[in-house]
This record gives sequence, C-alpha cells and structure tokens, in this order.
Amino acid sequence: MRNLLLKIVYYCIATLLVFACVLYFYLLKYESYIDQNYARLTSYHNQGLIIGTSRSAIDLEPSILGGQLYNFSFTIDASPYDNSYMALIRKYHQNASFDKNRIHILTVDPWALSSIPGAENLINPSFTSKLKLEPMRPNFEYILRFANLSIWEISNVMMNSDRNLHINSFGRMIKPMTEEFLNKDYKRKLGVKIDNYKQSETYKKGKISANKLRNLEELIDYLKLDGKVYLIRLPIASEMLELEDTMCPEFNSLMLNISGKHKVTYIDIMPARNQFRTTDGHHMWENEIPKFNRYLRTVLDTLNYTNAVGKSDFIKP
Amino acid sequence: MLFNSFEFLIFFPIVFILYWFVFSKSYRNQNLLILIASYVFYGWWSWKFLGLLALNTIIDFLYGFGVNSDNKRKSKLFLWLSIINNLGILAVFKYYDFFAVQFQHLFEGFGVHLNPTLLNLTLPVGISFYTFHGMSYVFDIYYKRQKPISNFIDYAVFVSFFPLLVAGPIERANHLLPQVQTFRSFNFRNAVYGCRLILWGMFKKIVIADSLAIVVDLIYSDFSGQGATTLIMGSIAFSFQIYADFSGYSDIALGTAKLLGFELLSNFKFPYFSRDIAEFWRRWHISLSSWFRDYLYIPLGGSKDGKYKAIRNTFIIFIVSGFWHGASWNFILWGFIHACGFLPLLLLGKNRKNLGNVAAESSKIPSFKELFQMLSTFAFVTFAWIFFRIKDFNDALLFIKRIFVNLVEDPGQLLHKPGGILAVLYIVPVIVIDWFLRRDERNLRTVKNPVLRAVIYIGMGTLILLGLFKGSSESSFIYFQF
Repeated sequence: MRNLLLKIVYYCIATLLVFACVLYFYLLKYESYIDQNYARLTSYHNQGLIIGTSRSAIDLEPSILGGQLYNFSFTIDASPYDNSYMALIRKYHQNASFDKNRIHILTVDPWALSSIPGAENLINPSFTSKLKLEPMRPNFEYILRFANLSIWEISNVMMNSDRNLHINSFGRMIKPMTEEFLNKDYKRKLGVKIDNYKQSETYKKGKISANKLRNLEELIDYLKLDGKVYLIRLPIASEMLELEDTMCPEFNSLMLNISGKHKVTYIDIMPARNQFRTTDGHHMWENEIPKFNRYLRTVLDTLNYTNAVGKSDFIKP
Repeated sequence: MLFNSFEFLIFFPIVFILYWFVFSKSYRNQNLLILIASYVFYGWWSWKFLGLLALNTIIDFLYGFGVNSDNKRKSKLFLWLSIINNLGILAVFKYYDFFAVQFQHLFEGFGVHLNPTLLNLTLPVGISFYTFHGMSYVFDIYYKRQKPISNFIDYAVFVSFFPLLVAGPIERANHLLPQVQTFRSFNFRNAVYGCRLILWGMFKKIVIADSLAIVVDLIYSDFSGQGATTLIMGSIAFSFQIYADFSGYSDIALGTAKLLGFELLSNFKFPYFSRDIAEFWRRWHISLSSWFRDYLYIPLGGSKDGKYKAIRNTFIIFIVSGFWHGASWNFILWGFIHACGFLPLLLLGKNRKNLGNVAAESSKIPSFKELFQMLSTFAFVTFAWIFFRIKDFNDALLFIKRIFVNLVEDPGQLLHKPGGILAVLYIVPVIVIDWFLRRDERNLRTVKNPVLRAVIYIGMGTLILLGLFKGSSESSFIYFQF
C-alpha cells in the first residue's frame, strides 16, 4: 500500500511539474491566442472604451477610429448590458479627469438590451461575474478557470495561430474569412442564423429589460465623466433588421429618448447597411472593416466638429 | 460528480484512504463507507434525487423476499409488482412525455385534438442503470440464481456502488453481491492495474473523446454547409468519440472498483474489430446487451421456438435496447437498423460464427477477408450512429442524402483534405493500442522499460490535466443522459 501511494505521489508531482512547464512555454509564445476574451483581461484600460457584444467586438477597429480607444466588447452571453458586465467595465476602466478628445462608444441593439422576463437573474453570464482578482498578466485566474487548455485547443492554436480567432492590440476580435468562402457560404449561413435566432427564447419571449436600460443610462453617466459618449447602432443585414424590428419596433425612439435625456448622441447606421458586407448577417466581414471604420470616423469627426451634443443622427447612405 | 472533474480527484483519494486505513476492519464497515460515498457522489449532481434512489433500493430489496417464495403464484406476483414498479418509475421520469406527445399526434390524425399535460421532469442521472441493477436482483432470485440477502446495507451498496452508479457497467446480482458480502483485502497488483485502467480511461475520455467532440459538434451542428468527405469524417469521428467516451467511463469505473477490491463486468471488448454485427453486440456495451439477452430475449423464448419467433425476439430486444437509450424515435430507429443488420446472420445461422475468438487471433495483422469484414461492420455501425447522434429523423436523412448528392456533384473532393482531418490524430492511437490489446481486454500491457513507462504515464497525466482545464464548457459523459 505504502509503495503504491508513494508511486502515485511521485507521478502526481512529476505530472504537475511537466504541466507547469508546458503552460509556461505555451504562454510565452501563444498568450494572446488563448481565446477571444483573454487579451482584454490582462491590464487596466485607460483609453476610451468600445462597449457592446460580438458585433462591436468584431466591427469596430480602434486603430482606425482613433488610437485612444480600446475595444472592450465580448459576446452576447458575456457582455449584454447586465450587472456583471457593468461591474467588469468599472473594474477595468481607469477613469481620467474629463478629456474632451476622449470618446466612448456604446453599441446598442435589441438583443443586447433584452432579457426574458422573470429569467434575468437566472442567466449565468459566464466569466464576467466570476472574475474576482484585479487585472494581471498572465491572468492565471482567467486561464485556470475559464480558458480551454485541452491538447486539441493548444495544438490548434500552435498549428494555425494566425488564422485563429484572436484579439489585436486595440482589443478588436479578428475573424479572418476569404471572399471565396464568403460568396459561397453567406446565404446558407444567414439562413441558419435567422432560423436559430427565431428559435431562441430571447426572440420568442424577450422584452427590453428595464434593468439593462438602467445599466446603460448609469454607464453613460459614468463614462461621460471621462469624455464624450456615443450610442451607436451598427449596420446588419436587412433580414436581421427585420427580426430586430419585430422584437422591438420602437427601439430607435427608445434610444433617442435616452440620448436626449443624457445629452449624448445616438447614431443609427442602419440606413447605410447595404454598403457593408457581413459574414452571417450581423458580423462584418474582415475586409469591410477598414472601410466601415473610416466611414464611422468621418461621421464622428463631423459630429465632433459641429460639437453636437444630445443630437440624434440617422446616417443617410 | 463526474469522473473527469477536480471534485472526483479530491473525493476518491479521501474515500480510498478511509476505506483501507479507517474502515478496513470488516467488510460491513467497508460497505457502510461505500454507501455513504456513493450517496455523496450521486448527491453532488442533485441531492433531490437521492430519495428516488433510496426508494428504488428499498422497494426491490423488499420485493426480493416476496419473489423468493416457494409458492409459484406468489413469486410471480411479486416479480410482476417489481417490474411494474421499476418500469413505472422509469416511465414517469423518462417516457411519459414521449408517449403523451405520440398519443396527441395519433389522435390528431383522427381529427381529435388532445391537450395532454406534460411533466417536463428532469431525468435523474443514471436512472436506467440503477433501475436495471435492482431488476437484475429480483430476476435472479426468481430464476433461483440468487438468494435474497438480509442485510439492507449490502444490498444498497450493490445498487448504488458509485463507480457504476450513473453509467454502468450494469452489474448482475449474482456477480457483484457475493463480492459485496466478502471482506476485501488490499492487493498491490490489482491496485496497480486499477490505476492503469483509470489513467487509460481518463485519457480516452478527456484527451480523445473530448477532442473529437469538438470536430463532431462543428460538423453535425452545421452539416448542410459541409462537403461529403467532411460529413464522412464527422461520422467516423463520432463513432470513435462515443467509443472513447463510454469505454473510457467503463475503464475508470473498473479501475476505481479494483482499487476498492472489486471486479466488475467488462463492458467493452474492442467492438470496432468485430467482423459482423452479432460480434459487435458481443463486444459493445456488453453488460446491457447480455442483460437484455438474459432477462428479455431468453424469457421470450430466444431462438428455440423456430425462426419466426427468433426474428421477432431479435427485433424486440434491439428496439427495446434502442428505446432504453432515450424516449425518442431516433433511438428506436437506431435499434431497428441494428436488428436489420443482425437479421441476415440469423437467417443464415451465422450469428454465432465469430464466437470466442478475435480478428487476427494468431497473427499480427488481419487477413484481407477479416479486414473487409471489420471495415464493412464498422461502416454499418457508423451509418447507424448517424441516427443515434441526430435526433430529428428528417435531419438524419438529409445528412445521409447530402453525403451521396455531394459526392455525385463534386467527386473531385475525394482528392482533397476533408474538414476535421485533425481527428485522425486522435483516432489512430486508439485503434493501434486496442489492436495490440485485442486478445485480452483485461491485460492492459505496460512498457517494460521503467524510464519509458514513466515518460508515458507522465505524458498522459499532463494531457489529462490540461484537458481538465476546459474553461466554462462542461464535458459530461454521453451515457449519463441515459
């Protein structure tokens, strides 16, 4: 018995040592590729923030919009306007005294601001509510609790890390796709997405959440202390827009009310949606992103120039 | 509690140490500890269903005395009461909603609109397994293979023994109960073998099955956009995923039991080296197929009352076996397909042809004939798995149709690399290792050189440890749902 237990202990210690070495060398070379969230959670952010779900995580490129921005958007599960995401923003954002050149972009859509009545508190919003420690690099809390370190994931990252979903230094999610693949696959993928969304509980039972609206308003007030805040509705495919209009036909007027109340600008880019191609109806295609972000920058520059505050803009194509 | 969790890595060493150092004076003490540990193990998933497990245990324990009566009528009455009770509990939790919906559809066909109340109950983990444990006890008493036991703790250990509680192997009373009622002493060789089984089982589950699951989920969740070769790759990957997942669980169960001094029934004997469907079913989920054989097929008359009854009974056990997996038409169809694969062998009297031997019994590689037989059996089994994996019948047909239509439209794709090709890296080691072990599944050989052996064990341990860090994604065993 003693012999067996000793052997097991030796093997366990040796295994732990090898595990630590593998983890060390993996992090040394592939840290930023761990997953699509990790890189954003390794430091405090003392720039303007881009807030939202996967649409803004993919669509908005801070290096084009203006280098003083950091994209702190995640996914619809991790970063709708729920309490835990709000707490995470406050934890990671370093507030500066008001800087008139700093801007914050809060992207809004009916999905991000809806929830199923009665089930709002039952939804477990992944890592955002569970991260306890302060930002650090390497963020071992995140790695050991939320990252996937399986050999499949590691080998996949090591073999084609450039093509993997990852975050650039401005926090934007990179999702490469060739034009050939897009042309071939777009219609089918859009159909699948639309079907999935129509089957979702949020579509069937979801309502605009009073709690999320309150969070949005509080976030506007909080970020207004630190620069200008813009509410932006990003462009998506017409088929997707139809779904959103069915879910919440009065969404634009709701946002206009909020922007008016808090004296920030609401920009609906939906009318220009046909100018930008998406991969699945609501995430912009990688090759369109520079064009879109230059377009948005022009819009923001114009508003900044005219110093429009509290003005609501619908962009005409 | 899952075997592939950090909780189990803490739970089992504690049980092991208490078992051999604190509760080791008598087998009664050992049994008491196992019972407590089993209820903790099960209650970790949901303590609410511990009552159901206890109720099931008490009922079959009491029925055992009634079934043991010398009065044939009384014995039969208690047997039926036990069957009704056990299947009744299964029916309520597992099958009621299915039948309610089917009746609703049936009546709608006649223009009658029913609005049945659905229970929408959570299916207690392992209910099909522990119910079958209890039934085997009552059946064995009825057939005079087992005497009813008077100690309730011993019986409760038999039903709820944690290594096999939630996904088998489905033990027989006359195999496990004598071990429960005997003092277990520590055996170094057995314990080392148990550790190896646990290591290999964990490796199959965490490294092989969970990796293949990523490919399979990607391909199956969006099959309409995939090419034919990718769909074939996905189907093959699923065959190995479910094998590595379930046989991995069984290996961990067997290894854990061995460390506590128990020998459990083998559940797998390299099924993908089978040369026909009959042999496959003697090698796949053996404890379930032999359960149905002994307690359903043979009581129905087996193959003794002529060809017609043999065919009828074969279809019954395959369909019931499919239905045992879940209240859904796809499982029934899966069972039916296997029955159809078995039928020609039965009609030709070849269903017992490959009994007692294994492919390439006396050589290192199979003959061409054996290779063809193995590949064709594997192809058939893989085809049937499609209906097991895809719940919706129309989707399963679309999946298969897409393979053929896509190949006809674009035969050139056969020359290109299919999607999910990385899965091969995970499938090949399983095939190679299984092939070398095929003559004796209990002889999990080890490398003679101690340094190389240590490197292999530590390497496997590291991969398992890495795989345990799966982020927020839970990775349960496939057979937990049954």
